[in-house]
Amino acid sequence: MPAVQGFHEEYHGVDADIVGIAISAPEPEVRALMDKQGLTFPIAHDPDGQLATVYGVSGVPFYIFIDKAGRVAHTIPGAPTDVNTIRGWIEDLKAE
Amino acid sequence: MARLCSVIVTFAVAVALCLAMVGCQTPTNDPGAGDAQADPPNIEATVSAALRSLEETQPASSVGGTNPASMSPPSAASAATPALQPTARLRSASDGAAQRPTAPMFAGTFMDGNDYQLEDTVGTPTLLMFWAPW
Repeated sequence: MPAVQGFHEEYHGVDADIVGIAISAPEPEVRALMDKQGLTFPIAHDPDGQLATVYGVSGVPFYIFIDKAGRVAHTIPGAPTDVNTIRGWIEDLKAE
Repeated sequence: MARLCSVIVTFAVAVALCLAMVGCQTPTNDPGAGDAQADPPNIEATVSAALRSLEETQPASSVGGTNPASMSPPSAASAATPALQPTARLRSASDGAAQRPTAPMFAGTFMDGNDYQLEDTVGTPTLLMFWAPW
């Protein structure tokens, strides 16, 4: 999560957007974690997982990269193990 | 005063030209005048050729950068620039960008109380992160 916050601080409003969707949890728990970790990127609450179902999310965390044309370019189930790989995908999408 | 100076200079130039003409004609009085008499037509021809040469070079020098010859490199460069665009498109296509599925759009009020719609991010790469606090 801190890595995603770092991406948001690096790219938000410039070349890329970071959006979080919190699923399957009560809102107070989501807010508590947001406050605890200092998350400032936009976060939606999807308590029933409806949006997750639409996107085919099988578990959390789950990362979906959307290109500039609004198309799904990459999906990463599970926690990313290489931050530089994520950064590279964002840079590739920026360059397209 | 300036006008007087210009008149004097003009007179001096005229005198110099007259002296020069006299000097050119002087050889005609020499024994080898037969050869020298043939020179004036040659000089005229040379001057005429020089004038034609000037007339021919004048348009090119007057147009400067708009000379078609000088336009060739820019036009070649501008022709190369659009050629790069299809290359970029081909690169995207080869990466499978054309086959990517359209992301489902959504809109609503986010945790910070602001209304948000994913459609607003079209034009910039976006990372959706599904997560849970547990």
